Amino acid sequence: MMDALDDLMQRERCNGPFCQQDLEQPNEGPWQHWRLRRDDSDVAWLLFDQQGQSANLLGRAALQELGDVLASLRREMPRALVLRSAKAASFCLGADLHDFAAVDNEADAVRQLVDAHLLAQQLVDLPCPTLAVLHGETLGGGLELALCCDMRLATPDARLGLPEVLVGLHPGLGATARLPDLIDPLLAMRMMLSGKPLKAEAATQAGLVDKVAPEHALPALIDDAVNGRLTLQRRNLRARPYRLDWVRRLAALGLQRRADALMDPAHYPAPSALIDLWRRHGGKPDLMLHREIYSFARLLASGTSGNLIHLFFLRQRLKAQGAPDPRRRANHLHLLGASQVGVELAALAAQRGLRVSIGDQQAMTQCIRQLAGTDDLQANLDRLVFDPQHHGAALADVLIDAQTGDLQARRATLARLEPQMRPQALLLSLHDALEPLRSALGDAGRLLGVRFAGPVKRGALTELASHSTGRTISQQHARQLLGQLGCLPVTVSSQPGLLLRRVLAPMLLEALLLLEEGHEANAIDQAALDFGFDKGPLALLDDWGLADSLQLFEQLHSERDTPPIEPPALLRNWVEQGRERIRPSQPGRWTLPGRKQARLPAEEGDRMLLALLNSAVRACRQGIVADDEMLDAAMTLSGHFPAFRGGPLRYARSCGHAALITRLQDLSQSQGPRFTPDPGWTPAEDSEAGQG
Amino acid sequence: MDSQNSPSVTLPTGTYLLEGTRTPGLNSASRARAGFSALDLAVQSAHALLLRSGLAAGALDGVVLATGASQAADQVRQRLQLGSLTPLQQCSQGLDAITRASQQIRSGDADLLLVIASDAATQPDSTAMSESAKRLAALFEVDEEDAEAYEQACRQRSSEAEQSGLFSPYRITLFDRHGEAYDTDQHTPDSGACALLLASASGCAQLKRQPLARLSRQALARAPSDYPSLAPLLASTRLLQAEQLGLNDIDLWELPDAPALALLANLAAWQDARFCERQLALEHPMGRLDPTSLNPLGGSLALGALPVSGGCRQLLQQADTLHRHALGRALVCEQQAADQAQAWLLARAEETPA
Repeated sequence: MMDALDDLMQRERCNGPFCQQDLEQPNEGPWQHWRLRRDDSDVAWLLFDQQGQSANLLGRAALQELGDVLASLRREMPRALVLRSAKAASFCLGADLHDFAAVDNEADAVRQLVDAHLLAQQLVDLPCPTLAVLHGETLGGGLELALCCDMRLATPDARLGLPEVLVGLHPGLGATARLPDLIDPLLAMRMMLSGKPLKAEAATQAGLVDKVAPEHALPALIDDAVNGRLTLQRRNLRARPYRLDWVRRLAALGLQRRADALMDPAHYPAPSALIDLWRRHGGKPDLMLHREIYSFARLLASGTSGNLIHLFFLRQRLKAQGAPDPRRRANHLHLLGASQVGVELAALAAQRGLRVSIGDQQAMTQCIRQLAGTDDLQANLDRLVFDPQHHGAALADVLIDAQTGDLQARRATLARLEPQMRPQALLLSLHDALEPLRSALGDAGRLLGVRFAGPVKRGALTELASHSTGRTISQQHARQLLGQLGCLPVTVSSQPGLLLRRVLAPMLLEALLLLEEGHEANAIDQAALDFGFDKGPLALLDDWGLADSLQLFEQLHSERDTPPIEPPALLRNWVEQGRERIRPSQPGRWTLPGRKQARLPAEEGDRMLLALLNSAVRACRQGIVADDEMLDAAMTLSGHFPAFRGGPLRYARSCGHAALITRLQDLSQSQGPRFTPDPGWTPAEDSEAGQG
Repeated sequence: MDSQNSPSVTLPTGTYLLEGTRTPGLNSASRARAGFSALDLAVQSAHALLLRSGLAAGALDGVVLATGASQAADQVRQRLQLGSLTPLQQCSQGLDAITRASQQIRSGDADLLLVIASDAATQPDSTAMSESAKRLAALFEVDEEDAEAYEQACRQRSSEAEQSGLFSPYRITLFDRHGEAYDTDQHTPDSGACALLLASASGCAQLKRQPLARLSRQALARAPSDYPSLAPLLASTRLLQAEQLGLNDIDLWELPDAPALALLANLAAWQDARFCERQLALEHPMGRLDPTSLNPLGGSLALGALPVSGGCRQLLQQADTLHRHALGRALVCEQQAADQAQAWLLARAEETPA
């Protein structure tokens, strides 16, 4: 049914002289990424149709071709130009980040940007009326192109945004100047600073879009627009006061304060650069267009943006690994037990459209409370079914073991329910230790461990642990399931601490040793926050729970392949005393409250970082995770390593393995064998991949 | 209830009751606090039923919904996630819904049908009823004391049934939007829902489950408007006559017993030779109904009279008793709007070897 409707909507799309069959044929025009045709009334229709892709990206090739297209239009000027996308779901997803990743110095960046700006200016200067018709995602460079047109129409599903800030940049094709000129400058700045898109309706109210209309109403509107009959509301009264320098200066202070509360400006320079650009040149759009180039190029050449773009690609890779198979979507999840993570997972599944049966009454209550305030609450609640007799186990595509308490009882429940499960159903345990469960199952090949690095929500990084007799196909199904829930799965091997805790443990141990040596707890955490961590190591210990941490440290201590580190007596005493936290309350995000900040000497701070880097290299060598990119992705996307540094291994490479080995060797002399460099360091590869 | 796999036998054609769930009866205070609408109750009982039957909503051939609320049909389709092709019918009485479903199954149009009946704060208009009951009681010499004794016995039977866990297999736990659970029947309820899964013989085979009972025959009767409380007697008599059965051929009776005086007057009327001869055109009086077979779990006096879903609830409970004790026939009668009653005859689902 749905496919047929999609097809009807596709057929209804208003593409001027192009019909749907034309667009399904390969592009035979002179350009690879653009289709140009004139209709009977001499209106030129230019469709962006990037070759071989399901969505458009404004890459270098497409831009170059656009120059040729505009040149050909100028040779024989049409009555008007209509710009649309030939793709089904979106106008344009923005610039092609691969282009940015390839640029490594500021001068090159400036040169390319100047070319792109000249091109955009050609579109602005085209003597005929120009009209952009937008649908779906209209992001980044795509929106900037639309801003160069005289008029903009949109379908109700359009979402317009400038998300450059998420990869450490700001718009670079003129939007920093054109957007505040077109709409309320404060709204424009907020759009660019947050990266959040506006829905079509909101964009119309803001003045970014001239009219919103469903597809079937577009032909008449387009006709009006190209014939100059469309009434335009272009009096941007809100912009007027901001032409005064002092007004902008004041407003910029407020913007800066809000931006600082979200991201540390020392580590993420893009928001400050954007605010600065507007504060200085916002009164003179022409000059601002020019200055945007240099500001953008500076950001592009900074390490931050490079690392964030790298991270963007890693996230894409993780998403691709968890891409759901449309023929094998999970429909039903059954929850055993009532642990907090289990309840959150069930709530997420209900929000993502799965039927969720819950065996435990307490868990049912918690899950309903968890869903409070979600969109479409009634539908989410209707997907939950209380199921004390576990009928759902026989129907579910996935059984979640969120039981707490006695292992024997957990095993007994699983042994009772597992035989009822469908042969291809998955069994996911939220506990690390899979071994003790394995023998209770008839088919242990479907058993996997799942650990969420933070709260369970969309986009949460998830460690997926397989054991030695796990089936590969189950792993794949579990990845698809997590992808269906919107999470980012990383496959790791089922070792104590899985990946993240394993990598982090030596750093936390080092922090405890520093505490034992008499440094202040706040100073220790502050050193990590200064480096860019979201959370200090001692705060992290509080999150993990002291008893669990001690258990993990002991497990790692007894491993053969890891240099032994006796867990500090301090921690042991605390656990024996039944203490649960190191400090009573949660400290702030990157600045800790406190009167006089005690500082940790740099040497001591490095000890924690080097312990972390050494253990990251070790985990990679031990094959806990597929490759170093996956390790970096897991550490950064879970919030356990500063995103702007691109991940521990990328950071280590940028410092140079050789230099780090020397530091580690020094430390192992002074501090003991726990700093012995891991055999996994590869100083020989330093030069070829050395980058800032 | 439990997994009842019996693939080696087949059932004769007919309509079967496969499985059912009901919500606890809620009184108006709880209902208001929880914010349940009739639809909420219907959806929760239906979801629980589908889960325990191992079905997705898409596997149903249709849904028949009985509620007082008229706008419910569009929403129930959406909330049960029925496909756009699944037929959905609506009516106002639980046993009517069963009748409609049964017709579809008999005609071969459907193999699996979901029947949902739901009440939320539907107040029966009982003045005419109790008026009529009092007059009939006077005519057939039933006094208030008998009625009180009967009521007490009903409550006793109901609490015994509760203690021995006869209600719990079918009674689900309701959850409101704040996560609070409701799992016990409350006194003087005005809200509740019941969901039943009806199937043809091939539907039963398809699900590999043994049904609780076969739905054998239905009769509807309207009483003279002066004596609306006679309607159950007329409907039951009509049903028995059509099947050529006597009162004691029925192992289990479920007759509307609120008010108790109406029921006792009807029982006395069946023993009254003149009434049976003149009004029912019977040669002999119907006779005395064995009181142990009547409303064995306490009837609607104890569980609360829910005008829309009460009949379905009693039908489910009778089918369970029939199944558990391997009895032959049960009769369930529902008093419907004003002066009408509908009776359903349940029979044991007898298998014939394949």
